[in-house]
Amino acid sequence: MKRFMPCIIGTAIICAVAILPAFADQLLPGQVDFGSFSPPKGGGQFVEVNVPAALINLASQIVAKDEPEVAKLLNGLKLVKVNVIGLDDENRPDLEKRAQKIRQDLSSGGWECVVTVQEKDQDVSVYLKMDDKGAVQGLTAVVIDGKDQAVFANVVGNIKPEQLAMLGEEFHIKPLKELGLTKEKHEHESQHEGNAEDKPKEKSAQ
Amino acid sequence: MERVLPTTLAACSAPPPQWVAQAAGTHGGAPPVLGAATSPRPSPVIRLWHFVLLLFLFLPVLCAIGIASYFHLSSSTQALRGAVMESVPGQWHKRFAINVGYMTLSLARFGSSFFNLPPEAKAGLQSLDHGEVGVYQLDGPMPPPDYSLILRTADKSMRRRGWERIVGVTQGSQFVAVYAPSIVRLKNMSCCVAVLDDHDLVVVSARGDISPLFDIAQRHLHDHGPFIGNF
Repeated sequence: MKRFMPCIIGTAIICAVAILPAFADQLLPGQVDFGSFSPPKGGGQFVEVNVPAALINLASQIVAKDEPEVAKLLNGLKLVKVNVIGLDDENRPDLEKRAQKIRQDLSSGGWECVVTVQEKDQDVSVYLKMDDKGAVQGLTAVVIDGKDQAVFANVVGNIKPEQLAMLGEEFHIKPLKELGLTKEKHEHESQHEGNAEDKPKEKSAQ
Repeated sequence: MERVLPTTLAACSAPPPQWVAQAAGTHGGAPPVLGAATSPRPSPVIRLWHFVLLLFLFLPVLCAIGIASYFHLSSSTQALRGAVMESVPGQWHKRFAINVGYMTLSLARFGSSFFNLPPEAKAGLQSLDHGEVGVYQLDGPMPPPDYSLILRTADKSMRRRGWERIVGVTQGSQFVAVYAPSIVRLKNMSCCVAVLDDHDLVVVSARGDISPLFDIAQRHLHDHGPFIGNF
């Protein structure tokens, strides 16, 4: 038995080393890989925020005393990722194509589209991923904001669309905050329109 | 018959002939020297003297190293600086670089206890264990920077050292990248920041226990709302 122990341990180590990178590359449930984005060459806006769980926990500890609701929301999160890319003539077709592809992938990947707003130059889609028990695993928002910018946001963890503005406020991530407010505004408007005429341009989940 | 005790030194130290024969016979080598076997151990005073002497001799060297360390950035900060400089062609020159470690900051903390500092400054000083800043300037006109290349190079270089980028912002001639270690600890939090603004590059790195800042943050939270970075 003693002779086999080094072999067993060696095999276990080799297996662990071989398997670990596979786990490292594995996405969390509710996480979306948007791919990598490049800053616009013309010097346009480019923002990339990637807040890992450890930093979210830190923020949660900071606000726990004064804002327990926010702390509770933050405790349920594992990752916040926001990409904002300024649009120019060079990158617009590519980003629009990519937004389209992400939407298709999400729809086919079991994500539920809970908000779709298409008016003027704005194109907003918010998707939710839920597990079998109905708990939210992640939220993804894809926005093409006319001629200005494209926003790709992914929040991994238990979050509802109406909490986006709160999260954006908390981390001072302006696009996330605006996204939440846009969603609220359009929901409000659609309710009014829905009362006036029964032709909703958007759908919204509860 | 009366025995006469040997009185001379030679008589005392000379071993009896049978001892010499026995030693040579058993080991086959030279007879042991009795003087060496019985010599006293080196005194600890002498050893201490050696140490003091060495310290005295190396003190100027240690001082020089200590002073030089104030102007020498850590490897992670150097890596970030190098990645940015490498991606922006041109001749960079150092305007200012300082690296303040635990000892200096402890002295500063001790010194600050005699003064009435604002609570924010005191908390900041208490939380900081290590801080470094480097300011560099590009000679001549700056070509339009390839931010994508800067980010890629910096990410690669920092990831090798266990740092992950948490923020990357570019707009016009401004560029900001913030890195944090893959494993974040409240008691020993680090961050590394690079800011490129026109011709100027600033790299900052800090490490410390941010819990003293918590109280200040919470106090401010009451009055002004959350403080976490504005992107």
